[in-house]
Amino acid sequence: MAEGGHSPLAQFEIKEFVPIQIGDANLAFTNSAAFMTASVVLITIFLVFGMRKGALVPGRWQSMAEMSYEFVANLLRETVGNEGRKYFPFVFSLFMFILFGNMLGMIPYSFTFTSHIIVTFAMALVVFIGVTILGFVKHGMHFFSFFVPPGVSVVLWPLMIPIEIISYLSRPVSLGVRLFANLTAGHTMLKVFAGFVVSMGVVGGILPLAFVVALTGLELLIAFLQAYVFTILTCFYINDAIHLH
Amino acid sequence: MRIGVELVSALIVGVAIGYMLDRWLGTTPWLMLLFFVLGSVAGIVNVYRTASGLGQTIGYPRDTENEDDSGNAR
Repeated sequence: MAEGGHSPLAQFEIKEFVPIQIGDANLAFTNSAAFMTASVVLITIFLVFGMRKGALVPGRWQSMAEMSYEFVANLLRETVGNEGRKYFPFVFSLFMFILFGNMLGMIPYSFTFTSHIIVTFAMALVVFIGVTILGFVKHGMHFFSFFVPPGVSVVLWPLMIPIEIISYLSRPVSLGVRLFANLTAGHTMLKVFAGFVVSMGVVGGILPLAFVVALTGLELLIAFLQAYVFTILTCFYINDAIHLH
Repeated sequence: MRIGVELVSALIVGVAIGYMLDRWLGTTPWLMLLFFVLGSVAGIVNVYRTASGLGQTIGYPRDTENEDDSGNAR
């Protein structure tokens, strides 16, 4: 086995496919960008071709496309209500992008772009800034009342308001880190146990092999679950910005 | 994993704010210590909210809008 290329962390390495340098900015087309493109293309194919017939009684493919649509639509309706309908395109795109990114990462030898904190944190920041702007547009300066918990005496305000603000600012951090940490930890664990299979030989390797199979199932669950968590938290935040408390 | 992330992220944000303010105002290390404490409190508040089923929202219980039971304990 060649050293270097087989570390459990080698899967997260960024490789430049097409180097593009504009000024000081390195805009190379990397494997990360390639998988993002692939995920967008696959989503488009999945939805457009799935709905091409638009049959009244859906086939398998159309059924799947409709299911993913309804899943997100219900999520949004339950958490935000009818006002949330406007934000459906954004939430749906987010969900499908993360889901396809996670699922593409489960294919052996592929790259998981959601296992890079810069990607997840950028998405979390987009959600956070968007939601904050939405709150200001909906409520104007009244938005600041969000940081004053109701039913707390004025004496405690100087203490409560900084805590609320820190709590609010921690949203993008926890949103980004949660997705990144789950995906990175899971994929690293998979590779570590797969390494045990090789190093423990034919007899001893059966146990870690069984474990890897079980872990793969768990990782598929996590891939879906983390896309779901990211989406439902986005819905909660939109709900907060629209309704304030 | 989710609960831990809530706790740590508020702490990180608190310390980061304190560190920036210290750099700006030249009051090292006092504001960082203050915001470390505030950040940990915010983290605990986050965990409490997540754990007590108020959703992962930062705000307090909504005014009986879709919660029919009176479990509005803070």
